[in-house]
Amino acid sequence: MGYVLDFGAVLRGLDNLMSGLAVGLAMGAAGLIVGSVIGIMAAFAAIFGGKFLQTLVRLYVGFIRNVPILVLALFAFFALPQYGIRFSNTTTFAAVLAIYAGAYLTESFRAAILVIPKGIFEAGRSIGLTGTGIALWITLPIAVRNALPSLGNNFISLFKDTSIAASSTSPPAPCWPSRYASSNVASRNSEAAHGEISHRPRLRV
Amino acid sequence: MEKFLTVLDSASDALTSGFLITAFVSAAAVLCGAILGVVFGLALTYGGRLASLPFRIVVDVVRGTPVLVLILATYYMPSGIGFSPGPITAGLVALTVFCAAHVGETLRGALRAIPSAQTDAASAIGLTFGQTLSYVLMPQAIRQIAPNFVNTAVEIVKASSLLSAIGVGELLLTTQEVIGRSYLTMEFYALCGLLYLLLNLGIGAGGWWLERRFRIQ
Amino acid sequence: MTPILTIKNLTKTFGASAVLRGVDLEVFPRDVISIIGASGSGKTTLLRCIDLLEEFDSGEIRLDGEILGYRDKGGRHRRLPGRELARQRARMGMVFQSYNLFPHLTAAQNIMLGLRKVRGMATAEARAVAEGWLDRVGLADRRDHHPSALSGGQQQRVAIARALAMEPRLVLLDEVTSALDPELVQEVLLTIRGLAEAGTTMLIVTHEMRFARQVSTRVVFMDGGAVREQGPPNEIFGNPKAQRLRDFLANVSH
Repeated sequence: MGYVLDFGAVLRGLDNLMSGLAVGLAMGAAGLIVGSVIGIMAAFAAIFGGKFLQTLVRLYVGFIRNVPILVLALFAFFALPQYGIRFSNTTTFAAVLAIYAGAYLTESFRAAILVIPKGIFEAGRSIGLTGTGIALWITLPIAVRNALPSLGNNFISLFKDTSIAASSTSPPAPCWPSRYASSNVASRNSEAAHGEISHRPRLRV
Repeated sequence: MEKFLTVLDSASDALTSGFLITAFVSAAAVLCGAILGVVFGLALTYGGRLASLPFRIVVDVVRGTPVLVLILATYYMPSGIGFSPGPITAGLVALTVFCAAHVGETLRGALRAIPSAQTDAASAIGLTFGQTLSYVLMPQAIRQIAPNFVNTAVEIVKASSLLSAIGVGELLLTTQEVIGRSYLTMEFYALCGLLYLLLNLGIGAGGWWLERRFRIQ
Repeated sequence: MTPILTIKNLTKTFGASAVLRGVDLEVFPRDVISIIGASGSGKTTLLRCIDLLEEFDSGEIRLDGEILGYRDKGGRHRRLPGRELARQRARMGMVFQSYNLFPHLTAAQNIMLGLRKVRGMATAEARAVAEGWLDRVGLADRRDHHPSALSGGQQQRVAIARALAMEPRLVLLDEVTSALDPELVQEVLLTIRGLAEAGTTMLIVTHEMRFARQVSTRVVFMDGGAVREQGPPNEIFGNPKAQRLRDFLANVSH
């Protein structure tokens, strides 16, 4: 075995890897926060909205959950600019993650709202709150609390998807560049990072 | 639109091939992952502290790692110990292990949720542990994890799009090649998304049908 | 007459507390023994030890002369391997408080499982036997129903049939009516009475004092993990000697 592990390469590139990690974390956080807002709104729409809104949400969730996030990201990065919709790389990816996360989080919040006993809403009405008031001061806080365990799990798996950002910043081509800015390459293992930096791979297509 | 249809016509073979590779690689990974996942699940549930430890480590590492990193690692890392797997091999291994880790963890949860009273009742009529597992515990556990398994299958199909990163000629890579030649970015990414959507909806429908057939009335 | 079951000096400690402190008991063919006592007196633990669902610390249980659960190996008691335990368990039947029917199988399939996999019967033969037993407990028309479609009393009767179909040497019943709604209790008690009249050897842990008095050939009172008094029902209920038994009977209706 003639392979010598050289973690020195990783240490030398640590600054790069770390700044990549920071970018990944920032995009992830932004995407998840906005995604949560989308999820909450969609959940409310699905439960309290009319037939039209319900169908809309179901289509949104059904579409996003069945299409790979990479396809969505590539669409946002390369197809939309053709029609003039162009933002910075990080903004675009954060937006894609937000829309992607929103579909999953809609389900979490839907379940969280549905477990609230009917009596709670009746109590809200009996003290004179209107629909909006009940939604804001009763349903929302309780739903968020109910959703926390499921949110935790969702956040972890969605955060892993920020690694997709690495693949989507390159132009559509059969080969991939050998240097990745992905945060998760650093957090997962240095061997892979090392493999990229010092061991130029030959792709067999 | 006309240009799209023209290009679509000439690219249809390539896209079909890409779609089929996506379907077959996903199916193989789901099948092998299910079998391996049952092994993982049983080891995690009944292995005792010592025997279940290696499985625990594998499952936790795999579940905590993004699929893309798993795929890249499976493709690039073995060169350190002397062999280079081909892209499809590496992709299959990565997706299989990814599927197995999820199935194993879910199966462990389902088995542990079955009340111990079921095991008592099986023991009381003289069934051995192996028989109890086969005829009493696993039938209940598998019905329990079926919906989750369908979700995992859909995730595998989506993850197969990442195999484009190591050069597997599946649907996404093929789409990108077509776009590279025709510059009809919007149209073909939309078509690509639609094809994934249809494939996954089909899986969901199949799962729903199976669940109805085997449901306990 | 040689006893079917002999229990000598059975002891079991759970952590810091002694659950069974030297239980002695003999069970003869056609005995219907009711075991009564307060919660925590060790009644259920005793049954579970007999059926080898729990391990015990010292003492001996013999079924038709064969030592259950353990063997002497080089002077030390070793727990028998799983296969041996399964074989021994097949010779006893147990009915549980929460029925424990297999939810994914129909009533008939619940009974057939043991017949096919433990006693090696062919499917057709097993089905015939299972249907016969369901008929005996009055549930012939429910044979293709799943437990979720049966009432508690019906589920418990299927559970009784499941235990009996294995033709065990004796049947252990652990508070089999305690989880039932009151109006469903009678059907189960009637079934058990039918078994008693047919000569089935049974050990019944129960809180149904009137039933115990009517059906048993012997009543055993347990307290603090040991047998304090035993005898014919009329003596135990009519003329209790041990103080604890008197206190116990004063607190429950009989």
